[in-house]
Amino acid sequence: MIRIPSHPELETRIEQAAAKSFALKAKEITGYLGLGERAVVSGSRKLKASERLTFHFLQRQFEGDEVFVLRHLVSAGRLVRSTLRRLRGKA
Amino acid sequence: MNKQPIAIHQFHYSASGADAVTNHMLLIQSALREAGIGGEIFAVHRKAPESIAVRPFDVASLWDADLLLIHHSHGNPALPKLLETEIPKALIYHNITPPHFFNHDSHMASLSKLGRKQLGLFEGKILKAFGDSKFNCSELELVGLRKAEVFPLLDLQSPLKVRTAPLQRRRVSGTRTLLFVGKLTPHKNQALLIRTLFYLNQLSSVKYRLVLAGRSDLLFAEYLRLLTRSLGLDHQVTFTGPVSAEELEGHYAQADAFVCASLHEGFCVPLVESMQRQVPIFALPRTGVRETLGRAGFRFTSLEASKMAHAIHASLSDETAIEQVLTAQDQQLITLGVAHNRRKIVDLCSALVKRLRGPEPHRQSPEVYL
Repeated sequence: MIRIPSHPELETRIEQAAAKSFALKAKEITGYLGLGERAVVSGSRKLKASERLTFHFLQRQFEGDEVFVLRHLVSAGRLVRSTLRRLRGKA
Repeated sequence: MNKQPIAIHQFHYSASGADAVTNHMLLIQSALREAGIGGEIFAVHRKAPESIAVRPFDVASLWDADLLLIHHSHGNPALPKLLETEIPKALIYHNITPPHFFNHDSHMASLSKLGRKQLGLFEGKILKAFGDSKFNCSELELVGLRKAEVFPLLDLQSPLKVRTAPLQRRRVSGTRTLLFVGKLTPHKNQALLIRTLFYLNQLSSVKYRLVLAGRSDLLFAEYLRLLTRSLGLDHQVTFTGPVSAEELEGHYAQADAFVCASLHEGFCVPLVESMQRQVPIFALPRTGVRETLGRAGFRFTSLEASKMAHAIHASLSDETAIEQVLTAQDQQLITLGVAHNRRKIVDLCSALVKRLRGPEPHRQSPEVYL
């Protein structure tokens, strides 16, 4: 879990303490490793529908597969922004 | 023997008030000026406040310098024109985040691809290649720029303007504050820090909060905000947005630990800032982070949020461990200071100019003649 290159003796002590507390929690909570992911799934249901949809796409993009349409949306956003800036500059 | 005052100009494609490359150019300019060496900063895109003198890029304005330092940190459309100029040139490479971290943003991905491709153009066109870390130098070697040398990115031999009292600070509140400083962007991997915070708050009566300081990639920032809300951590995670130097000092002063889950860094200046302010560091030893940390700090060996949480909690609960790791961080700061200081900046630049002008008969003050 952790390395302390400057103090290997501390590393053993901290590693043991961390492993012990991890084992206790894993015993206490079934599927402890997946607890965070389950919390994300249940928590995201409380988001507004539009936010939930946005979160679904963004999570796929940043945690897994690429969502192809996003890069086009970002490019379109950049184009709109630069056009507005140019128009403001001319005004 | 040429007795004209020495001038060393610098160029970066863009310059603003807050970015790391502009800060580096200002440090170099100030160190050289102290040594009597003049020179201006040039950029194509200038967003810096008026207090920072950045001149618009124009090849004709460069003629009066002995040397041009070209800072390279992403694609530079002006590079071919720049490399054609007759003025002697040196490269300072700041690392370019690989394009696969920008799959959501074609513009950034293409700048990254262009920047990496352009590294090959420097071969045979420059006097010397520098990187601001050994990691960056090793990337230059891979594209054929041999004998690249580390160029100081910081001045670690000047005292800090502000110092905090870390030991008192850590005992003040019942909440532990974790800090990360850096743009909200996929390669800095703040999502893993938020997930780690979720597990930390399942562990004990000690409550943890996370402060993420820095500018944003809009889409990634939105993802992080929605992730935070989904995990019910709205009140435990603070997104500061851009911060002033004073505000940043405040965040370091309140931090019990600096946490870094970055997947790619060329150097990671906030690690050094944490060392200077005696904040214990927890980091994934990837890319440039490994070198900047040296043997100091706590290193995560797992990308599993739950395991990172247990490692952080066990470490922060052991005061002796924190003290000893802080001592190791102090030693690493001294080691880094040997390579990163103003004197070294002047020495490296003067040596290049000396090669161009010939041997030095004597030095005159205040201006340096070589």
